[in-house]
Amino acid sequence: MKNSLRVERAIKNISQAELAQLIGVSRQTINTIESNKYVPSTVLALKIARVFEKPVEEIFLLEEED
Amino acid sequence: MKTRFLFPHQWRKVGVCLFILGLVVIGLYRYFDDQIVTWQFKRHHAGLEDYEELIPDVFLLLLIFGLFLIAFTKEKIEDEQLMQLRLDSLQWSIYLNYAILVVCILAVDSWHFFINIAAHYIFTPLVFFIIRFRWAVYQSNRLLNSED
Repeated sequence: MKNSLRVERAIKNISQAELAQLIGVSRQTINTIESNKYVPSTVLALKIARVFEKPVEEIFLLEEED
Repeated sequence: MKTRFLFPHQWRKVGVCLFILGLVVIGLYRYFDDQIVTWQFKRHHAGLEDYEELIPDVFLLLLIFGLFLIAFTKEKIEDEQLMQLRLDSLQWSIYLNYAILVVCILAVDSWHFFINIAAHYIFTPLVFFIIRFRWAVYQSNRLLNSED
């Protein structure tokens, strides 16, 4: 699974730390999601989508191997 | 995030204290071994209660409670990714523990010696877990700092 979190953050102009605080996780978690090291739970993905006011599928995308 | 079965973050310090205290107890016990044996011998002959079993019991309990608190206290910011790291580390430590056990079974002939090694298995799963988990947290922090 890939994600466009970094791009979405740039568009909305918020830092990893700010996003982390908005959804109640650590900066490390945002960082590991962005570098595709961690796949967030559905709850977390929905919270992230809510921050960017977009559907989850626009931020998180399945890849061939998934 | 709701986390089950974890102690408050501040309790880790208590864990470290208990652990150090446990090491001090066993250190003193080893150091004053001769005096303690003589003392026990005298007490035994005087018909008084035997305390010989007490010191190793105290040592074991201090170490176990200490390690438990170090292993299972919350981080400052607790979330699902940390819980994932925690579970991975726990699985990893159990794998390593049993891998070493299997090697010991195959390599050690003397049953008596084997039991001596196996006695350390009271602590090793916790110790392996703590090392692996702290390492994973350190790595994740390093990744974060390298991005800044």
